[in-house]
Order: sequence, then C-alpha cells, then structure tokens
Amino acid sequence: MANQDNNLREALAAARQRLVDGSAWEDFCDTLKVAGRVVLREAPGSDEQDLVEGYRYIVRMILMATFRAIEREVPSGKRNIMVIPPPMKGGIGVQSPNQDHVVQPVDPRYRFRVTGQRGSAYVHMSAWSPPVPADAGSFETGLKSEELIDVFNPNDSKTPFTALLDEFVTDGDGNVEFIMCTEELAGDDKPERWFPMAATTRELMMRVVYDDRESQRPPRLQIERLDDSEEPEPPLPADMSKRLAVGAQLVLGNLCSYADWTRQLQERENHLDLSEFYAGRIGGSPDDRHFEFGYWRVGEGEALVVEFLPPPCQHWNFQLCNHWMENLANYITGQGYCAQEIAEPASDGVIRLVVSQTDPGVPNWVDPAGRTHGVMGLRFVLPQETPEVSTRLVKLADHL
Amino acid sequence: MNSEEMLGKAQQRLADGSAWEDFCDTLKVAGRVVKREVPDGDERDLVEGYRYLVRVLLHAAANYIERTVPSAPAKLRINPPPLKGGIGIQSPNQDHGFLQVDPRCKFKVTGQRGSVPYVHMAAWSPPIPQDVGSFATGLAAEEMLGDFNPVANRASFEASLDDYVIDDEGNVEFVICTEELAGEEQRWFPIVADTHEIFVRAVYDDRSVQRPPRLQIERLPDETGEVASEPEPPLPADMSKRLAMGGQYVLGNIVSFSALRNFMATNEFPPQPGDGTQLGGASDRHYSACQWKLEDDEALVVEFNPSGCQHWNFQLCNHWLENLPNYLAGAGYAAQETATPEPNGTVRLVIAKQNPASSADPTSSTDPANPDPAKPLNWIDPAGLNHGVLTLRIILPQTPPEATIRLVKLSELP
Repeated sequence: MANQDNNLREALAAARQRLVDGSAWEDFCDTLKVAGRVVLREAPGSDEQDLVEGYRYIVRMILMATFRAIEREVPSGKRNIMVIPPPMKGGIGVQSPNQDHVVQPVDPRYRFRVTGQRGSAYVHMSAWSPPVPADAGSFETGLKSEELIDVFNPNDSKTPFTALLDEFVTDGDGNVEFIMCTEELAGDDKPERWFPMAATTRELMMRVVYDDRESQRPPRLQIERLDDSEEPEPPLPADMSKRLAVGAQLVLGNLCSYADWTRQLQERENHLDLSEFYAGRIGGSPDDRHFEFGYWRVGEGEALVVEFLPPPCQHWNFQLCNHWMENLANYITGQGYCAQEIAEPASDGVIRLVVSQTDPGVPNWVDPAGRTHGVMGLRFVLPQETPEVSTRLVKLADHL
Repeated sequence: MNSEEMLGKAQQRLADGSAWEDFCDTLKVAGRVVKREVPDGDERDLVEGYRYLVRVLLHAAANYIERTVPSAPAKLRINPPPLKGGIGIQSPNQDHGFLQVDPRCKFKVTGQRGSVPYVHMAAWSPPIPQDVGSFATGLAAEEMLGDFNPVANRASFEASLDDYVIDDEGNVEFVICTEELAGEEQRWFPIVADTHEIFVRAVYDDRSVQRPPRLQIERLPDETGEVASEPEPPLPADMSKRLAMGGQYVLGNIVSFSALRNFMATNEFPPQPGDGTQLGGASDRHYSACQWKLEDDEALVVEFNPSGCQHWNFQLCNHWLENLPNYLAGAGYAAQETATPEPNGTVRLVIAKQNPASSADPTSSTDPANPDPAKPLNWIDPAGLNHGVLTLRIILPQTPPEATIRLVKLSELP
C-alpha cells in the first residue's frame, strides 16, 4: 500500500512537471498529429472527399474530447443531467438520429445519487469504463500514442454494467432514484437502487430512444455527489496534464478503433452482419439490441436492396454513413436513413430499403446524397427474435 | 503563383498530410506562447492558459474549419455568453452573432430587430493572404502573424441595426456586398475584399424582458441568375485553407491578447481610454483596462461617472482575459443594471478578496451589507484569484469617460 502511495505520488509529480514544462501540451498536439496520420492511412484509395471528411472528423472529435476529457466536470452539488440531441453534423460511430444521449462524468471514488423523472422514451444505461491508466499524464504519449492504444484507449468504452432506467422507477408517477457506486448497497441503503460502477468507470452513458419526438419526453434527472469533496477550479497541474493526455488519446482511440472495424467491414462490401466484438469495443449497447453493420458501395445505375421482416421490437432504424461512420450531410433534414416510424412495409410486412443515387420510384428510398460508399448500420432495439437480413446489389433498371 | 497553382499546392498539402501536420504544429507554437507568457511560472495561469487554447480551438473549429457561408436562407444564430471564460474580456451583457459572408457574393438580411436596446454590427476584415493553405505555417506560424492573423479583426464598417429598420414594426432589411447599391444606399451594408464575417453585438440591460433580433440571411443570385452554394464536404484545397485559418486563429488569439495585456499597466488606467479596435473592438465604446494585482489585505477602488451612456459594465478577468469562473452566477463583474451609484451618478466599485462591508462593526446600526448608503461600495468578488486583467466598458458615452483606479489597504477603505 505504501508502495502504491509512493508510486502515485511520483506519478502526480511527473504529471505536474509535464504540464509545467510544456511537454503535456506538445504531446497533445503530437497525438493529434498521429490521428491525422491514421486518417491519411485509412482513407481508401486516397479518395479526396474521404480525406477532407477524415480531417474534419478529427476536429469534431476534438470538440467531443474537450467536453468529455478536458473540461470534464464531475458533479459535486446537485445538478441537472444534460440530455444531448443528435448533433447537427456527423455524429460518432453510426450515431442514431432517433436517440438522444447522456454522457455524464462520474468518478468511482465517490457515490452519486440520481433522481428525477423517467420521461416517456425508452432509456438504456451503461457504465462506460475504458482502459485509462491511473498514471495517465505522467508519461509520454505524443508520437508514441498509437503504440499505447491497447492499454490506454478512452474510446474503448467497456460496459461492465447496464440497466434500464425503468428498473429504478420508485412509484406510479415515474419518479426514479438510484445510487451509482462501486460498493454494493446493503440493508437500509436499498440494494435494489444500486447501479454499479467499476474502478475504471468514467461516465454514466444513456441512450434515449424515440420513435415520436413530438409526443415522447426525455428523462429529467439530477445527479449529486454523496461524498464531500470539491473539485479544484481550475484543475491542478497534474490533473490538467492527465486531462490533455486522455483528451488526445480519446481522439486517437476513436480513429483507431473505428479504422480496424471499418477495414474488416470493407472485406465484404454491401453486406450486413452482426459484429459484436467491434460494437463492444466502442461502447456499443451490449444487451438490448441487435446491430448489423456493413460497408456500402453503390455506383450510378446501381441499387443496394436491404430486406428484412422486422421482429417485434422497441425500435429499428437503418443509416448510411460515410467512411468515418458519420451520418451523411443530409441526415439532419431526415434523409440518408430510414426508421420504423417512417418506413413503408410491403403487404407481407417485409421492409425493403433501396439505396441508389437517383429516386428508384419505389417506397423506402434511402438517398446517399451523392456519396458512393461508406459504413452502414441496421439497428434493432429490444428485438423479440433475431431478424434475418438480406442485402443484394442490383442494376437499378433490373430492380424496377 | 497564379490561382490555379495556388489551389494545386493547397490541395497537395491536404492530400499529403502536411496541412494537418501544420495545424498541429501551429497549436504547438500556441502552447509555447502560453509558457512564455507566464514568466513567473504561476501554475494556475499555466493550467488556465492551456485550457484556454482548447476553448479557443472550439471557436476555431466552428468559425473557421466548419465555417458555413449561407446560400439558402438560414437563421442567424445569436449566441449567449459561453458558460465558461469567453474570449478577450467577453461581455456577460452581450450576445453575439457571426454572419459568415463571402465578399465575392451578395447577401440579403431580413427579420425583426427585437427589443434588445442596442445591436451593433461590424464588418470584420482581418489580414488573410489569398493563398492561405498553399504555404507552410506550422512551427513558423508566429512569424507570419503580421500578414496572417484572423484575430486582427479591423472593422471596415460599423453600423447599428437600427440604421436598417424599414418600418414601425421593427422589420429590418439590408444587403451585404462590396459594390454600392444604386438607388438603395440606405439598405447597403458595405464590405471589402477582406471581410470574413459581420460580427453582431446585442447589448442587454435586462435579459428577462429584452428579446434578441431574429434575422435570416440568404445569398442573392449572381450575374448569371444562379445562387452559388458551397460544396459539401469542402474541396481539398479549401479544407487546407480552413485548417490553416483555424490553427492561425488559435495562435493569433493567444499572441494578440497576450500583447494587449502586456501593454497594460498594473492597477493603473491609461491616460486615454482605448477602443481595442485592432482586435475586433467596436468604436462606439471606450475601454479603461489594466492588469490587476491584489494582496489579501488590499482593495482596488474604481470610480467613474457613466451618466448618459447606453450601457456600462466592469469585468474582472484572469491572465488570459477570460471571465472568472463565478461570472455565470453573476459575480466577478458589475453592470449598469446591478450596481448602485451615488446620488450624483458616480459609481464606486471595490475589488477585494472578501466583502469589506461584511467586516463592518456588527454593533453598528448601519446595514452591514451597505454601511454608508450614500457611498455604496459595489463589491466585486475575484473568486480567489489575485491577478489578471480588468476592464471598464462604456458604450456610447455622452462625454469621454474619466475613470480612476487606486490600490488601498483594506483598512483604509472609508
């Protein structure tokens, strides 16, 4: 124990030194540089549009990393939990246009109480727990950052614990209450209100799934820390060093994790498949959905037909994305994807989606907005049975 | 280099990765400026400095890298003050809008003036070389700031939104372009070849009742009758330019605002108030600014008479000209609508670690929060900081403002 304390003290001193002498910042910039090299390496055939979008994607990921790592605020007093609507542009990792998200920072050294109103949408919760070394900030990353990805990847949001918000509803009025902490609650602490955290948990992540945003309300929740402790403002130098390291590594980890996965999807174009391993690696929801991914490539005069009979499920949707798993530029106007509430089933209930450059004149056209390739995803939330999905690339003329 | 060669070079720099490497290297240089600008090694200033770079980087992403010049009619977003910090002593009493324009095109703005008392607009026209994106910046970026500084926002033209109100219902309409509109001079908002955006300031004194303007902007057809639109995603040469602009904005910001701070005396206003117009300041207002430094047993007393101005406010900022962390809770600054003046209109502000009023003799019959009603002291809480930059901003003053600042021992406070 004494040894551990010593190690920690040394790590904090080293992290502080790295902030003060400027190397934490230089590493931050160099890690971003490495992320750029990943973009250059992963853009297929040096497609210029993919390159432009790849670099722009890094900039968007820096914004995400800023909030989740650098400005990250673990609550002390009681505060509202922010429910974030889909972004105007892109999103992360085939992000659903039908979901809002909560990414609430927590710290496993403390206990937190969450209270509030359940709302009327479906809400799934994950304890996101990525590999982040305790001494991050004290060692060099920068140009070496990619070699560290296996042991230091804040984007690898492992999910040891999940729950539905419904499990914590305490009365007939939809009030909810749960305690997040690492130690099991016992006796008077009402064990049924425990939502566990691991020693590596960084965030309480929630997926709020809508099929009618007009009538469905998000949860309205507050979080408060039950243990006394104030976060210094501004953060201490050692902590800032860690924040910068985690932030940059989150950007790089995001690029790297998705790149491996995309390469695998590219091996079999225009095909959808369950890829549990990769979905798990990027913090995918492990237990409430069946999510098939693929790489689409549809030229002029071609059509990709995706067919399935949706099983009874809470929700399904299908998305076309670009090479970096961003939604297409037209998604904010309701295009480039299809969902349960807008699709037109055939008389036998089968859904037939058609991806083609021009309007095929049949129902359920998914418009790729002039793009010819990228990642696609078909997501079934709480399916009662495993759906069978077929894909085929046809000549547009034959299809009609 | 002709324009085709220039574009070819910029495209090449995106495709071979050097545009991105330069972007990262420019950020690196910005970090070296942070370190250089904290000569005493104050660790809090260092932490806040690096964090400031990240915050400015967000702004660079939105306004330079993702920059969208509208073609189809688009609403102008009026942004409230950020939750944290702000840029260059950003006023908590103002909302801001960035109307992105391209001087090669014409734009029409229409909408409603709103009820906010004052809306100022400036055509921000910083020095940006034509061939940005085609040349290396990176580690040499700081040497280029003289000719390439997106933060050096000279205003080529300024106006009040009221100048473009067209009826009694508060509807506004104007056209933004470089060439004078024949017969419609009163609706012309002129820009120049360097204009990058129109910066809109909406100044409130009561946010609970005053509404921001609601404006739309659309691009007008060119000579051929077509409305030009931007490719999505941007072309590679353009993306190379965007990255260079974004990186240089971050660097220009930390360099220019540091220079502004270093130019200021400590606990002493300059003989003449400045207008800050070299960094996007508006010429309709005066700034009395200085660095501040305060020991625990000291207080800074600021006095001025703002009678007749449109609005005034006073802000304490940190070393990087960011608002203090308490400003969202209404502390760390004072404004016309929150401060109590003396009967003759003079305002006295007192900056001290603790509220001097609360140390008043508890047996005294005077209100401890306001020991002398005739001389209210308007305490400003520095939220635990002991140095930084402060500014008194007086908008549309009737007479040139005279403001004094003096450092006293707490015990010497009246």
